[in-house]
Amino acid sequence: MVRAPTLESEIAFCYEVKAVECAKEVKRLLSRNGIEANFFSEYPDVYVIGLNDGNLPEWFLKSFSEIKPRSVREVLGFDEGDLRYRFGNMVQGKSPYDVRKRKPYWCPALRRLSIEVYYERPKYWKALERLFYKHVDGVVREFVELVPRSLKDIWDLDRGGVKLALLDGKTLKSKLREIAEIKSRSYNGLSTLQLVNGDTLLGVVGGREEKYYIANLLSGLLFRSGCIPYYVELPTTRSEYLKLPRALYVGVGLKKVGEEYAKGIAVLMTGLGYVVGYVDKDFHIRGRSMEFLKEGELEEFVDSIKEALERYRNNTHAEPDLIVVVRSRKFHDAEWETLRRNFARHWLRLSSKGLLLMSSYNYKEIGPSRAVEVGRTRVDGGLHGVWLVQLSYFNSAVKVSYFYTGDDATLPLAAYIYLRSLDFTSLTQNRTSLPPVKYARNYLKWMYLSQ
Amino acid sequence: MFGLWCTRQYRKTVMRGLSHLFDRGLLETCFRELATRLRREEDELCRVALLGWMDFVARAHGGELYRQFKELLPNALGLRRSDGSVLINCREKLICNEPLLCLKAYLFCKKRWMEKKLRSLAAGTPYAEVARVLLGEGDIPEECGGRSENCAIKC
Repeated sequence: MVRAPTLESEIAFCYEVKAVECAKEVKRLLSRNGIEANFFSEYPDVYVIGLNDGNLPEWFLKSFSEIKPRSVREVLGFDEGDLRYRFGNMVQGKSPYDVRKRKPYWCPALRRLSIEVYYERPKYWKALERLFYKHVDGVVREFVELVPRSLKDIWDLDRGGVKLALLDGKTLKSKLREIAEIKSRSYNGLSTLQLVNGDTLLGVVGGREEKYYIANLLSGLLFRSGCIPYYVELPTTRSEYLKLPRALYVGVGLKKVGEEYAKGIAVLMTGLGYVVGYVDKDFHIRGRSMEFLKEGELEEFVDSIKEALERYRNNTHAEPDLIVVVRSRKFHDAEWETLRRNFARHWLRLSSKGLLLMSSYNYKEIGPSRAVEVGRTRVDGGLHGVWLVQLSYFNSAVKVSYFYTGDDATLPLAAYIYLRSLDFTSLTQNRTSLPPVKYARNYLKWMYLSQ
Repeated sequence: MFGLWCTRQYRKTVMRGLSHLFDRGLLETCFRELATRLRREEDELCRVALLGWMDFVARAHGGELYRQFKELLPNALGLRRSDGSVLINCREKLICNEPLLCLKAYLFCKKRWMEKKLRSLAAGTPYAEVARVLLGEGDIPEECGGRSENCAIKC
């Protein structure tokens, strides 16, 4: 990554045009000289350059200065490999996959959990039973009971309680609308119905991924039953980062549901990964970029989230140290297109003293376990900035764009790593989307399919 | 339950300054055994539980044993920086947002507000179990090896 010292250099003539237009001109000029570059719209003097053979011409090196990525551990004092996972019975693990060997960290009731498994074909249940007995330790099996039920009608799934449905791949397609309706009705911020393609399950049996598959399934089922499968221990004593376990997270997603309408969803989640509610709102939109037509609708949405936050505060008598709003790319883009830099002022109503607004999405490769600060700007009420971070199991970096009312520009990075680890529905190290946003997007998907 | 009653009573006795009633030889044997187990124990939460008991024993014994305990505590908790200073600020309220850190901080700082935070930990979680050990209301959990005969101090 490189920074242009001035944008009115001999590289491009852009004295009187806007910075973004100038950056486009620089990009074109570089491209004509065989250098592929991309710039950041938030910081148009910063470019990502593709280094094919590692050599850059002298004129380029004179005009641009390199911004070197640092190791994530150097920036934060820890990285995702330093996180530890605490299960029940005092057990600490290095991996969330230990969920199949350890009792969950916490469950609302100490009684045995009974999960109904509806199977469309007996062979699906046999396959699941085999995996469960082979890879799930006795201590967990004593606690979680799978109760098989033959599926007679798809509406059997439309009942209370946590359920697992093992369905034929063809049924998942042919009865999509009914399944979507049942799935959407099962939501309360998180669905109580887990769907599994039985044919995929059969394909897993006998393969190397058996134990990972069953660990993911078990963790998801525990989570849907109201348990916290494991507690994530944050390996730091830095006070700013210690706000994260007691923060309240709001995952916000947006989906186009008609020519002129989009549905917005906000899922509220505690710092332990526990979903405590959700809020939804219809937005009038314009065009492919889904710009919000009415700024007042965003205000109403934020007000509804604020009411949900108040209910949480009153019910738990807890005051979160920080409110973290994490947005999907679509929501972030829609805000950016409509409101540009001022979007933070709407969200500040949630908490004027401790608010972190962030959005993350895939970007280009910068090297494993590396982070680089693209830029930071002091704006009214806080800090605005952009980071690129690439964790050790990733092939590409993630761009984290943020606004924070505090002073520590590294907090969004720590929040990104911490939040990833709270995804109980996908334990893989390669997971990219952050849990509250993922839950919001899934809900939107099923809601859209059911209409 | 004997162990539970004994521990609670034991702590009260120590606090009232009646520790001279205990068998000092037994306290030393118990302390050495716990120190040996601590060297082998890798799980941080179990280490905190062992240190919690070592704290009681060292306080009851007083003198040289207590000095040794105070000296080993920051390193045993993993709180010593390379420059020799200690990582924890005893006045930093955010420390108790992370329960493991709060347990360690309580052992090190013994602040009243930390005690309140430890009491508010969700019942049934591993942290709450170890908090009871530090507060003098619980035994070393069985998962951490329990309390051995050498530490079966008669109250």
